[in-house]
Amino acid sequence: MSRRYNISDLPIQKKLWLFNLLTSLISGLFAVLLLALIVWQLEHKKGEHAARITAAIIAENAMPALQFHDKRTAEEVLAGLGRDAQIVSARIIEPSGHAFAAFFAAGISPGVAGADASPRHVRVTVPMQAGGIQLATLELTSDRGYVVEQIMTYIAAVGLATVMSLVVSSFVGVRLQRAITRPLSALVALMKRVSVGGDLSQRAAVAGRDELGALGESFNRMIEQIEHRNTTLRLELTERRRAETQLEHLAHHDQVTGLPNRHFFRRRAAELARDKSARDGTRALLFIDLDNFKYINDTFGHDCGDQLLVVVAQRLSTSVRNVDLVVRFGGDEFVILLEQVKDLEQARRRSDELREAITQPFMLGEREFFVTCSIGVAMEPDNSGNFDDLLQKADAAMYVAKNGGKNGICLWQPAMSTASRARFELEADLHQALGRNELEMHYQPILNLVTGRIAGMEALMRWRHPSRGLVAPSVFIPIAEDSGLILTLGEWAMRTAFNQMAAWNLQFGPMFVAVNISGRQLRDPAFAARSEAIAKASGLARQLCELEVTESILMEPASEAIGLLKKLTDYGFSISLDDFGTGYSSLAYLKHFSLNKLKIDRSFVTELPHAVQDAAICKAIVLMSKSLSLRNVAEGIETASQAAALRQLGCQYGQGYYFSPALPVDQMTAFVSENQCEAQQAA
Amino acid sequence: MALLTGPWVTARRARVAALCALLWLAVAGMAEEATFTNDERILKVAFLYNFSLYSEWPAPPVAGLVLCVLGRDQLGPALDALESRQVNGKPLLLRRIDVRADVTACHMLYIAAAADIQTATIALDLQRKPILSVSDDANAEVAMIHLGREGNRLVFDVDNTRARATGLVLSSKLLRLARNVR
Repeated sequence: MSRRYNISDLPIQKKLWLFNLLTSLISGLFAVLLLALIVWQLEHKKGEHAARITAAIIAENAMPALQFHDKRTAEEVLAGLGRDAQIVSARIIEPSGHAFAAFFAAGISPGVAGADASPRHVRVTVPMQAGGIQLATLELTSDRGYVVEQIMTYIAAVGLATVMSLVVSSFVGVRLQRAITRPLSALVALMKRVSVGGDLSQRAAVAGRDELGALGESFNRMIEQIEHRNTTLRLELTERRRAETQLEHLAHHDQVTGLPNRHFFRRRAAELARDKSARDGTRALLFIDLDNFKYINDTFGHDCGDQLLVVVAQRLSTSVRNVDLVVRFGGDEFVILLEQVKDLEQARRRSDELREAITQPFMLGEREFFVTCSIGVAMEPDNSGNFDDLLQKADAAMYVAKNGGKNGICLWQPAMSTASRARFELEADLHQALGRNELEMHYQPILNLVTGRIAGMEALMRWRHPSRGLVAPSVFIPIAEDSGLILTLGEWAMRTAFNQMAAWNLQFGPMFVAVNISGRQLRDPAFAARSEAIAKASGLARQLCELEVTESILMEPASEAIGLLKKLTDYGFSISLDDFGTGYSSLAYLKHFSLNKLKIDRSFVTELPHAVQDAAICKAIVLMSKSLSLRNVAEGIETASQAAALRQLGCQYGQGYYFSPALPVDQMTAFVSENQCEAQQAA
Repeated sequence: MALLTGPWVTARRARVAALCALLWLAVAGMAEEATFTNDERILKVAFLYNFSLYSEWPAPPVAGLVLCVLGRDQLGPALDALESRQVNGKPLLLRRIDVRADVTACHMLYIAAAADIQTATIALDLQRKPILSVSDDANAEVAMIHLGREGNRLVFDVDNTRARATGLVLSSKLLRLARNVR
């Protein structure tokens, strides 16, 4: 209830009115008080003065009467005071205290006059002297009551003036207040419309140049700013939402193919796992890995690889139904979740359709490409209800398919996971193999078929696994290539082989050493410089440092590989082409690459000397290499007759079990010294 | 106080009056001695003094106002006290004289006893000279002011004609207070 009396809650108009009223009243009150005080003081003095004069005159007039003790005359003189309405009493008092004569106004009793004067009375005394002797004192009492009346009159006048001023100021004030409160009320109403209604198009009418006008202008500016900010904010918000959507999309989609990525798959898998009720039959999880994608990527560049991925993604997407999910899982791996798969047979059939779709040749630029893929299939929920588990199983199955000759489909079997796990463990062990000194270099001699002397050796890496024993390069090199470990291993191989050969050269005279180079190593731009540094450190003559590359690496004259090989030959390295005559053999390599040696693949050697065709091929290769100033080596010589046949065909060097398998260093040292002894004897 | 009424005695009745006065004196002499209380003496002296205040001499007193007392007065020490007082800034000088004395130096004359005034030369002087003569003796016809009693009040009568004749001017205030003015 007390709120009702709170002045701050009153409207401004009321407040101003109240203020006006209070001001008028207070000023009126003060005026009255001051006036009363001044009038009282003035009138008091005036009254006293007048009384004193009157008393003096009366004293003068009454003096003779006093002197001659004529009381009657004295009283007659005093009686003259009766004409002055303010005189209450007058007495002539002798020194003895006796009143010689007295006068009292009508209605005044002598007792009252004699008593002490009340505040409204002024009493003056005038001595009456003659000849230096005070005869008596004239005491005059006059009434100031009229002053009170006068003051009352003044108060009434001032009060009237106050009321009049109140009326006038109210009249004027109301107009003035309206000039203030009206724009304010308008502003308040506008504020409400803006703040409650949110209508920012409203503007205040700016009436004048006073504070209210300034307020209105500021208000308008404020609304404009708010409006501007709102607009900006809305734009920003839209932009942010768009960015968020984009980010969300980015996070869950692959940028190259536009397919959902592994994050998306995991989320989807989690949803499916949660929502088991939505199950509709069996699902098949396909893990697809492109077989030769790495090769294409390495050879033709990433752009080419990306385009390949895009094509594959398109084919996969168009080959599945809407309910199925195609995911680019990473690199050249795709995962497909096929819904409503009846049985294994259907899963296999549909996988086959997908494989067919992928293996269709396609054009990139002016070039035609073939891509094959390996597909691993795991069934849900038959193989597992857990998608992570399922994914591992499909992956394992895919590896089996890949190892089984590629371009195949493999349905998961329990044993596959074991194999896959073994491979995984092997990879983990390989990472530590260098540090544990488990790797060693073996050397297979390459002999001059004419002289029978060792001309050089091929360095071959061996891994002595602590529990598995010797692991074949065909097993661990692909693992090293997949994991990128091949770069470290390759450098180690070069360093070890070059150093070893440098030592042998000191001991036995010049022999070359050939180190196998992986395609992965050739993609490293720093490879040439590093090789040069290693060779230089070893002290081995550069022409004795031979680098062996496979045909597949050189399949197309990719500028990177050409440049790199050019650089290597510039440094003085010899480049030999391994497995010549197999795979995608192209005589164009011989033109594009600066090669020094061709190695005739073992497949042409095995059937010699009986196979006429093989002999012809071998002869052709030998002839071609000679005319191109290339040296040649025949691989895989296992018998004396093979060696003899090749010698007859004009082949320069030979390598194979017939001469020696790959040997560790000390055995090789022994083999070399023995060979030199035999050669000397033969000579 | 019938004795004091009708002071203005004609010469025709003077002899009777004189006789009566002798008788009155014989009887009233004692009475007068008795009635002249101390207050009355003081009052009379005061009257004498006050008369001087309301009078103007043609030639104002220079050295002092000389008050002469003729005859044996009964005013006692109160009269002597007058000598310490002043009139209009001039000292009041008191002189006791007899009928043979020269009154021309007097400004005022208090005739204590009328006795031989008529016969004395001063009577003439009093008629011509501006000498304010006062008497409480009704017989002293030459006096300009006669003091008398009315009840217990001391009153006075003024013969202003006589005063004017000598050039004396008596204040109207004084005249106003007089019981009778001639």
